[in-house]
Amino acid sequence: MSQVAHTTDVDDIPFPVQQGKRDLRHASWERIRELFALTPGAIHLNTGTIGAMPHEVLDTVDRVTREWTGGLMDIYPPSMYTEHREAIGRAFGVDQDEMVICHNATEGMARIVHGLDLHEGDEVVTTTHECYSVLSNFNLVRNRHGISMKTVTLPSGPDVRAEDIVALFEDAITERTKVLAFAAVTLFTGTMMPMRQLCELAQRHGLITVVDGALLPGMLDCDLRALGVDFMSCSGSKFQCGPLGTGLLYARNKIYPEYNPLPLPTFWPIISTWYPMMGSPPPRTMTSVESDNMGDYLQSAGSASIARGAALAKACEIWDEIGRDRIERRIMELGDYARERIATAFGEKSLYSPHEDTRLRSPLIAFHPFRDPEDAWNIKKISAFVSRLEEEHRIWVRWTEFDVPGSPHQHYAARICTHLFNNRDDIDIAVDTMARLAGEMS
Amino acid sequence: MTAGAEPSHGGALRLYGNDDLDHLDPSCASRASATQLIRLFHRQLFTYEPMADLRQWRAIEPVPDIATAVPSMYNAGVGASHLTYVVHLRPGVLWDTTPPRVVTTADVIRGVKRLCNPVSRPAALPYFTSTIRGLAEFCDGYASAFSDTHPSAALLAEYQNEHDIPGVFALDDETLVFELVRPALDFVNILALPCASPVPAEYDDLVPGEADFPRHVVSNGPYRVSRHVRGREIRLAPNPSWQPDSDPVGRQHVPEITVTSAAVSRRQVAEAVRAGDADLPWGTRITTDEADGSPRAEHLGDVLRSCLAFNVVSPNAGGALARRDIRMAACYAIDKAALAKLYASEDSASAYRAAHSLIPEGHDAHQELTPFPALNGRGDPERSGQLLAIGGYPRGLTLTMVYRDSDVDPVVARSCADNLREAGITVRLEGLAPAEYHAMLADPRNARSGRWDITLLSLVPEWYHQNARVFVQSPLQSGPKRGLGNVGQYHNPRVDQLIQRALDMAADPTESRSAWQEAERVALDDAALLPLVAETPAARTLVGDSVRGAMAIPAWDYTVSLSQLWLADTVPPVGEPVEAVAARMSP
Repeated sequence: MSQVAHTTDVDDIPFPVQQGKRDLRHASWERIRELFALTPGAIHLNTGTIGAMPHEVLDTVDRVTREWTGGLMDIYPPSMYTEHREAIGRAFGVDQDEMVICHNATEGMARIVHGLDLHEGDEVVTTTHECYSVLSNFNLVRNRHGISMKTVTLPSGPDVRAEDIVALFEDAITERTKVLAFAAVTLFTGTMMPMRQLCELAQRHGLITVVDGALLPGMLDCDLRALGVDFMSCSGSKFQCGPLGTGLLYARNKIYPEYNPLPLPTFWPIISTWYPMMGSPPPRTMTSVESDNMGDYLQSAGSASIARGAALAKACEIWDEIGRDRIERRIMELGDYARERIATAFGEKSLYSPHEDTRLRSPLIAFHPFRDPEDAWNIKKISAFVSRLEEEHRIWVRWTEFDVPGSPHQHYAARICTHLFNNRDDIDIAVDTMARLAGEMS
Repeated sequence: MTAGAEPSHGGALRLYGNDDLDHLDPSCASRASATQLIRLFHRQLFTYEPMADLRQWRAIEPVPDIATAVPSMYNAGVGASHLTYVVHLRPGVLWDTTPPRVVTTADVIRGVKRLCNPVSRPAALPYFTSTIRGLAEFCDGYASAFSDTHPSAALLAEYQNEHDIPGVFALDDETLVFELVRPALDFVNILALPCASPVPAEYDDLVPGEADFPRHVVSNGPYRVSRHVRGREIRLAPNPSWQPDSDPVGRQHVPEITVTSAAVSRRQVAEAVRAGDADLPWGTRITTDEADGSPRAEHLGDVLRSCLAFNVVSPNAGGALARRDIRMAACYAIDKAALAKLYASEDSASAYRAAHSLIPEGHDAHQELTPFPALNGRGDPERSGQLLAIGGYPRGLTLTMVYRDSDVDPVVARSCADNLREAGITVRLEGLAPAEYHAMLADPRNARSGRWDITLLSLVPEWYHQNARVFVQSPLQSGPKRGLGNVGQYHNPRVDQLIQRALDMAADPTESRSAWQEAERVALDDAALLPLVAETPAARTLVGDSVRGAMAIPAWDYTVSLSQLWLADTVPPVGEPVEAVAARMSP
């Protein structure tokens, strides 16, 4: 039985207590919402761009910054974030030697892409729906090493199925293909990519998987090892609600044949202090026991922002307290609610996000808000729509732009994201407001 | 008025030279000398900011002009696949009308449609038709609609106003979208060309390319045309509708600009400038290594100053030039080294050398080639004669070589004719005044009728990065037959295929470069064109003593940008009658 008590970390917020500890696992969502530094009177439906930090995370940034300011302490050991990486890795089913705290998903992606052992003639298969950080980094490698890039345009709309996506990738693979690169959740249409199926496809062809997981931490309760991915870069400040300038980088560093039987790919941990100054690291392991600490090579990059790393760890700790499985259910339930409300208000055909195939649903929902289909390629209209929502109604969403197979136009969509600090009232108000505004603008 | 680093206002700027100053319609402009003037009264979406030091990267990088920004992924102007460009127009850009009218997206679209007109098309047209979605079809339809007639301005306007280009559409008066058929990394450079100028509705009353166009100019730039004497003079005065805060590049320091054209030689132009009778050469670039010793623009890539173009559809001499072996015979005959010396004797500040590649040194897809190894570029008339004999012309043949009777071209043409004569090819030389020359070459009927067989072309980079297409696509690709691009009507399906592949692979530099280079090799092996002389241009142009702030724009063949310069206190009276100027400066 729970008792109501004041926590030591968050003043004046009562939570259930279990065995003397704050019990977020059983706290109501309204109580949990109070953990976050949300702007009063605003509805935040844009976690895909930036999340809202919990007060405790903000406090951690401030506290640790002060602790490490002007002291004579040795900042290098804590810059390795060893304990934090262990705890965060555990939350994602992997070990400390595979997990790195970096500055953001873009930096993580750059370090992955440029660490791959790619050569002239090698081919990367990816999509036009990737974040620019993915496409630009691979283009850099193309210019530098003469690799080729094949980009497929993902299907969009309510009736897209996972099998369509996997088939699209499979058709694109050639004998030269070395890498499959895709997002865990696409930022433009909010498609939850069939990660496991794509990893299995990659494994059948002996390919390396590079996953842009910017939106994944804090949204999904997932086991990176079980997914079978080789590399993933993540944001710490989106769904994970850590400080800006935080990210995670996962590099598979051991072999569990049941998830990914392929040998570990050759990988060059660029930006590293601890990579040997002479000689080479030991050969990469062929077993489930690591032969070396790839995470340490990647993590060691001189002095680090210890405060931000600690704050990201705090955000992850809160998530673990609440329960990542519980958070995922909450987010997805709100996402489904929002999707239904949008389908009702704007018509199911307005959805660019998947709908029928529940495997592809995410809490990011992209849709066309206007009556005239041709407004789908009117950047000014969608941009004005989003601006007016923010300025006149204090509702934070964003617009996205992407290719649609068979269409000569670049399409623009409104996108909302649901997160654990949202509730159905937020969604109702937002959808009603968007419907009114879109009607007015149509 | 004082000389110094700070611009001052006043005086009259006098340009002098031998070129066509009647055909200044932006929609069909292809010459640097025209571009130099057009920019004064017709702005583009993007332009180049003059830089005193050409080593600055911004000297070759387009900047926003009528557009508010260069579209990029950072400003949501370009998407991930680079197939959509969103362009926002700068507020306050006005047409010089009564009352002044805002330049809108409709004017931009009118400009794009107008460059497809079937009467007078720019050499750059293939860049647009191979890039903008639906423009090739629009162009074809436009040409078909008037294939049997000489359309009036009204009919042309009617066609343009009744047909849309699917890949160019306005979102409103301030924003428009370009949709491409394939990524084109040079698209902003293409939109910076004068032929992409927005044009006003008033131009619906004009047939593109009319010689009295200057009288009808509706300006949106810092200057307006105040006087035009056909073939002899154009005078420009400040445009009262121009707002300096709506123009990030253009200026209006000089209250009057006069351009005088006469049948004068390059040396006479130089003498006039040195004597103080003119301030700037026009239609011919006269460089100098005097004064500040500015370096050559060695880092930018060379200009293919001269190449020999063959009219492959000419019926003359039994259609000899349709045959590769006869074109090869002509190629072997030319003493390129002598030609390079000729250029050098006229311009000691720039560096000239025999050219063997179409894509000159310093450009992305340059490759060292020696397609017709003839004694280190000195020519091999003996071999040339042998080829003619084997080809069925043991007693030689006679061809007509036309050239622009201006600048260095007459001397170069004579030298080429001498070389060819030595090999057994009798050359009938015909020098034409610049306006006549350009009009003659642009009309494919003149090629088909055998009005000419050989001519000289310059392949000047119209931009300086990812620019292989300016050396290969424009002069070699089959397609729209009218205009100053592929004047010799060269047609080789393999070259076309390789050009297509190079364009298709634009996003992959290795593949794209490889295709451009292969296209170049195939075309040169086919003796489609013969590169003659490459130039590393000197950075400094000869200017009069009173001229300050003269800066060359590499993308305009290093001509000086006129709206930024100003004059020190040694200026002649404003408004000197053209007759007086002509009389004083006549050769």
